[in-house]
Amino acid sequence: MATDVATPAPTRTAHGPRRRRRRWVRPVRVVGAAVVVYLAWALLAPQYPGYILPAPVDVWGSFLEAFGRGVWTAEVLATLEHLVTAFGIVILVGLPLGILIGRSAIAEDLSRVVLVFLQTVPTIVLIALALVVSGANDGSVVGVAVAGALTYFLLNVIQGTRAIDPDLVDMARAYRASESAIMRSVVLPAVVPFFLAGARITLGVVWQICLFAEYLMGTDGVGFQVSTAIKLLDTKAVFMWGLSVVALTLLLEYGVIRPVERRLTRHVKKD
Amino acid sequence: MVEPLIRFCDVGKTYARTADPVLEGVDLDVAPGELVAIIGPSGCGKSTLLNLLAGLTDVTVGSIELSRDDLRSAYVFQNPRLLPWRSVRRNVEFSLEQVGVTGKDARCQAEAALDLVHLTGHGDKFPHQLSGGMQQRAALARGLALRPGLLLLDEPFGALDALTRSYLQEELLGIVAALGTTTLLVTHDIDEALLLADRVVVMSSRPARIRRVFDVPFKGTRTQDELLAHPQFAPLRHEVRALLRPEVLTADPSIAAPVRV
Repeated sequence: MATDVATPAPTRTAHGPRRRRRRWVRPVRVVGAAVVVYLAWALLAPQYPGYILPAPVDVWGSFLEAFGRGVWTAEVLATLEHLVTAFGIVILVGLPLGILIGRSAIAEDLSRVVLVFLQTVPTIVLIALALVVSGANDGSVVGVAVAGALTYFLLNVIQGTRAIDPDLVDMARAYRASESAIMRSVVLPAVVPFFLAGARITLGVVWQICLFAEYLMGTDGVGFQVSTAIKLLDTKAVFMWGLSVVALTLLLEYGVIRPVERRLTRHVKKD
Repeated sequence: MVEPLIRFCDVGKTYARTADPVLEGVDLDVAPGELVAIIGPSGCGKSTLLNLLAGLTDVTVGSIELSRDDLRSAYVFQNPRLLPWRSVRRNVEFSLEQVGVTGKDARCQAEAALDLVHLTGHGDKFPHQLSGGMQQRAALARGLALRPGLLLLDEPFGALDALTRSYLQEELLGIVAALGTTTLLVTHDIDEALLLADRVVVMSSRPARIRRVFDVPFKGTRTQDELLAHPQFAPLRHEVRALLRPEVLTADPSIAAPVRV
């Protein structure tokens, strides 16, 4: 069980401050590696038929075509709607539930069976059940994503709640802090690093499950577009949708998660 | 005698996970505005006495009565216990928030308390950016900002260097006297107890009982230099030491064992 719990907020890089290289060295290496991968793709593509390995220019053309017809935006928005709804529900349900389970042995015992079930049941079974119960619709996609991702988030919050320093809680009690003040000023801030680690894992899992469910259920969204494209052997479209998801994930990581993380962990010791 | 503010009646404490009692038969009255030092071997249960008073744990036998329930009480622990995600000033404001002081008022009072412990200008730093001694002073500021009616101090000066300690001891005396704060000070340090306290309570090793209560006759002699020069100081210190010594050895017999070199 513990393997799904991420270590919160590492405070230094793997190499440490031992040797200080010039600041541009590392970004240049990262970009350099990306260029090498791209060149390898561009050079290998002509050796294979387009339905096995499409050329970069064809994939780009596929994007322009889908974007021009408005399909790209519509499908991406459909998937993002699934993603954001499921992610939001996991956070809103998982945070209070995780804190409750972390602080109460009764809640822990009562929730164990459901948690173990959710953690171990294959996603494909959840999808099959959702199809039977409510059919192929947006609600089913979101429901499957919530059920499949909840434990990843919950386990991190539970871990964080258990890691709260009891000395700090005693300090708050000695100053006659109310239970709600303790929750607000001691418990929630202490859980933040675990919340962030859990949210990041959850976002990745929700992405995977949403696409998977869309693919199998045939609802709107990028997943269904992939399933249609592969049936038509339109491999360049499959590449295009795949790269679109990569781009969106990076956008969420650098546009939302990192800024939130920086805002919430300003106090963390650096260097 | 005035009505005591705090009355310990035959207080005993046994923690559920251990069978042996930590405290036994503690009877003690503390008058309003009095500063009582509690001294005893380490691990004897002195801190438990403060925890009981702060409501962090309940008595097993006996009772603790407070004649007023409207007192602001502050607790300065052995370790700073600052919230790592709050700036130093916001940590000091924590105690004020709990009594409904917020916003600009809290900020001003927190700044004033930081001035008092010589942390002026460090309010915007986070705890990890301060040294251990500075963190402990911030914790003291958190307690003093409250202008408490009851102040519980658990070896609050242990982590400080000698100069800062004697400065803060003298500051504390001034503040406590000005506010009429009733103070319980747990300490190892006989000199500290004699310098600060109106009465010194000497505790035995576990289970902790009160061995003896000394009245400290140095009223108004409240700097270290004056104290050392006082004719009654050396004999009293000797007496407290003599009483404490066998208790320390009982608490930890290894201290008396010969050391091979």
